[in-house]
Amino acid sequence: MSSDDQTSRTVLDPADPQVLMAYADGELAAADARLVEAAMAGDPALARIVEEHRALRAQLAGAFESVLAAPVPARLQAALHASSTPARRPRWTRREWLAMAASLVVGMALALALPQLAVRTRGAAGLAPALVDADWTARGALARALDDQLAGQALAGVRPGLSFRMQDGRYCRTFQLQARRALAGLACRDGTAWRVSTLAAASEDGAAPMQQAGSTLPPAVLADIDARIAGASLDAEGERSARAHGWR
Amino acid sequence: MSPSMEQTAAAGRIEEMSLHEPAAIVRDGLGALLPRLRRFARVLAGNVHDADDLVQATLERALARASQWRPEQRLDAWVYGILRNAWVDEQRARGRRARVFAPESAGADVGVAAIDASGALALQSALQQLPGEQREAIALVLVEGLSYREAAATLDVPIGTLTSRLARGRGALQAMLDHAGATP
Repeated sequence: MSSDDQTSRTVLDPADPQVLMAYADGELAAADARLVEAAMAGDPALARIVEEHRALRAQLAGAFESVLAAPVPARLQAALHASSTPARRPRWTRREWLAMAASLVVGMALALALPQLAVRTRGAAGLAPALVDADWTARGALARALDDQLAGQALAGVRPGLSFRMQDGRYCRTFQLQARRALAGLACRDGTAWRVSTLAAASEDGAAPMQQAGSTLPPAVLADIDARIAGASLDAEGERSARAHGWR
Repeated sequence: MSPSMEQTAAAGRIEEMSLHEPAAIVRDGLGALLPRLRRFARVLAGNVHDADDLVQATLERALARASQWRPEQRLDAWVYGILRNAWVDEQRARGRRARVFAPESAGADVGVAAIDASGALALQSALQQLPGEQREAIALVLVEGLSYREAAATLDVPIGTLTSRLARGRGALQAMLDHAGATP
């Protein structure tokens, strides 16, 4: 074997354990790798060490592979889609201010009428006609936001959060209403409509007026998610695709 | 239609985008990274519950600091760094609690390894017995597939330090597995 080109710059010892490790991990430059391969060809003990490194690597990858396929818990999806803290958020645009001012009225009406948790029991007529019908079907800005906005994008004070499918394949989405008294809820697909199944106060402290909704989903909404979710919630791509297909 | 007006309008849009985009990109990116973050946390923390606590803390920190991320930096390496630091903080807090309260029983779950045919549990519990700095090197390079250079940058150590931790960790792990295999 001719290796004249390598002898001049040889500082690499192919039998050095760290060199063998780097070779097994694919970290050596091509010329160095050839040097190690030549040494391995002449010494089965070196080849065995490299083989051991690779086997351990494969074993490690295998030991944790199941974590990749496991469904991501709802609480992590919720943390991901929580609104960022007010101090860090870029200044609101004029449009957002106007939208929020409009939703404030609606949100306040909802918050006052629903102190803790509202499940679909009494007729909702008169509570927030701009956002839900008497049978808790979403309308207006709520329906539009659930149809069109991706996670974290606000429309007229409504910010959808995580999206997922139920056992029967229908989609559900969480949402937050940005108002003085923050509300969060869950709405699920009912034909071509969204029906609100849970609505709850997102945060008890009213100390920060005119700021964003609280950053976590209320327990009632989380419980509703856990009761309905089948598998994992949608990632950004899944959400875009679901939206493109009209959430059907 | 003057081109300068067009340019001004475009510049305005870009400026507006740059205000809003990083957070959105980071949020989207984090969503895609979630499974891998859970895996990295699992290697470090050893059990699902602690690992997911760690991921949650990481998401919160990453979203709060989204403006610090630079597009030329690999998002996964940046977030791995945040997760690793959150883990180190948690270890320190735990160390303080352990000194104040009774020590936890060490290696209580080693017995589980015996009933695990695939060897995955044996490996997972062996990993937990390594010093943290060896475990994080193994997690980044051998499980997450980062290059030596990327892993060293994530851990903020020289590359030589990274490789020697990796080599020692591997040696210890192999020895534990050989030992376990010799006495089934």
